[in-house]
Amino acid sequence: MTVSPIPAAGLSVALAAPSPLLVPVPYRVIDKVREDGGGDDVTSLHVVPVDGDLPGFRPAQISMLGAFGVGEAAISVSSAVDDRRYHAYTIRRAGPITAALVDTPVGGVVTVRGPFGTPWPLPEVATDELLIVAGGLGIAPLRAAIEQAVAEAHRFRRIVVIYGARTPEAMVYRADLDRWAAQGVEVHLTVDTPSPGWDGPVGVVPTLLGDPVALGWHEDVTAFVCGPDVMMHFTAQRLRELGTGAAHIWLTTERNMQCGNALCGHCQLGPFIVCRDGPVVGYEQIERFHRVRGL
Amino acid sequence: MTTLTLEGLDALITALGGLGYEVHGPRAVGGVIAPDRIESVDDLPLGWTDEQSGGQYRLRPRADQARFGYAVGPRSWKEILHPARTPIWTMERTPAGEGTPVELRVRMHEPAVVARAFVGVRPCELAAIARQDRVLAHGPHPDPTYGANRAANVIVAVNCAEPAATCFCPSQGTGPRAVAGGYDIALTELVEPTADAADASDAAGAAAGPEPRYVVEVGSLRGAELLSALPAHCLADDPHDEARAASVTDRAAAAITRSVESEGIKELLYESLESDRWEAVAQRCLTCANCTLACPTCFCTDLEDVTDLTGNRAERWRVWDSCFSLAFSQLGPAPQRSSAASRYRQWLVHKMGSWHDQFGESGCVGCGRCITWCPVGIDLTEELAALRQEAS
Repeated sequence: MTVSPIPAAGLSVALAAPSPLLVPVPYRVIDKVREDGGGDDVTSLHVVPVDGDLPGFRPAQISMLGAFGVGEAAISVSSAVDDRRYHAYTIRRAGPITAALVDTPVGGVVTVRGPFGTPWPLPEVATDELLIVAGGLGIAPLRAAIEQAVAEAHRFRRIVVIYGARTPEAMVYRADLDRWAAQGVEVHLTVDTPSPGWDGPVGVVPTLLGDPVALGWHEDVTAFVCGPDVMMHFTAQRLRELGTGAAHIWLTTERNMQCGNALCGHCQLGPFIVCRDGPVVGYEQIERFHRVRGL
Repeated sequence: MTTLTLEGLDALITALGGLGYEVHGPRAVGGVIAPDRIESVDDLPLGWTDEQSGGQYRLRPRADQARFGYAVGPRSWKEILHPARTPIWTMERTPAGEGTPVELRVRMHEPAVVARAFVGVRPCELAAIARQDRVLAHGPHPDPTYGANRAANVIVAVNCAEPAATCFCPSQGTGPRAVAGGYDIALTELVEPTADAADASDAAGAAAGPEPRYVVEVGSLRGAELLSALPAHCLADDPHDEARAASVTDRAAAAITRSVESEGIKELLYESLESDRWEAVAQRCLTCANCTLACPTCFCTDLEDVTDLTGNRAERWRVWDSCFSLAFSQLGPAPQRSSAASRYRQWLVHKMGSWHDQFGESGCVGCGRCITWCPVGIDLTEELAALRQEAS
């Protein structure tokens, strides 16, 4: 090859090693914890890199978690940011990939690309009240944020957690919820369908807002909301009715994610490329797209 | 301004080959004009033009000496730069043994830099390559395969003289003349009209008239270097050629009939997300994905993991994907975009609207391929006009 070194009109970027996010890193499963009380199969994998150190992350960041020969799924890191023993990934058995992940035995290996993505803007929160609203497994990307808020509880007058699940058995992190309540967090639980022994509220999470959960006005509240799109939509609407400023409401975005590098086009949601611009986005930015079905 | 003889163009192609470039240019093969390996001007589609309309593409004979007397074919340079199948990595698993845990070894595929020269890239295709550069090479995590394919890429553009009925590049600001760079050399083909154009159909393949000439614009140091190495007798300096070249592309621009009103188009689409028009177009759309395959900017891919029979060796491949497939938006148990209307909407809103938010420009270059290659002739310019009318 005698191609001249004189630059062509072609590409003006230096060829570099691939972005680390393109390279799957083997992680060992050191423990597995069944998180729900029956019904769903929700399991947390506790993982550590086979070689090297556990990377840092911020609450709500996600990784592409891979099962050998099967594929990858986007899962958020749900352990506390300052827990340097392992990263926890909480996974519901849904399709072949998540099944292969939760079936990985202790001692087995999964691959991780990440963590990446926009975090909950917890360090920037300047309000007295922090409201955390979770629907279903939407509690997983919030767990690290709750742990961090509890650790920094002096910053807030109130920390409120509202968590709704389909049934009492489908609730996850029950021990954590009890511990947070003991640490001063106002924890409110609700279910869509009660079962014998449930004496808490029945109904979707927005029905708790305002009454019984009275909130401060306008600039006093910051809300982090994560759950199914429809739940986030109605929660945000209810918060707006109660006077919470749109700029104080933060939601998550979720779409089919493949590359995690803003190259494959899968995780688009209107103007957002979720792996690049999400998962956490401001309600002001997402509002007009959120209500559109099938976007 | 320099003008190249046909012999000069041939010398350029030969010189590129001699320098070690894999030379690709248009050929008439299999009923279409498409990029292929070429060795000389003899491989170019002399005697052919293309006739296009919604859902229609036909090669027609032409009687003059034009080598670039057509618009664009179904296949674009993205097939080479952003291949339909790309290896990503291989992984080897060593099963757990007595006292040894299971191990995984990952080997990333390292794409080789291949020097390729493209001859005959249209202005709309230059724009398409620039769009894909922005997405695949200038994002937060550049794609190594695309980067390797573009790293030593020489481009000889040819301005458009024969737009198709489906073209609308002036609306997108991308043609018919290359004005935004992206080439090493740009040519405008000057063809003498044949004495009797009415004979065209009888004269297929037996072209008449004097040889065409090529007015040259230099776009890079590499382009200047390539030109300076050509034999002097292949180059001429006619003061009138610049005006002749301009009139070729002016005539092409005047011949283009389709258009898109691009003012405020992103907002129009965002405001129209719940329009009934999507359902109307879905009545015709087959969700076949032809438009996304033919589109020179569509870049979406899927990842496929395959294992061998031992079960201990896995490969990951990246393959072209389309937002028209149901699986594209699979989230948990169901696809997010289950209706044809929602999938057509995703494609059009992304192409013409949200691409601006994501990458700072339109995703459409106005080449018209999606109109020609839609089996039912859905025309995005018509759909956009209908949405605009509905909104006004």
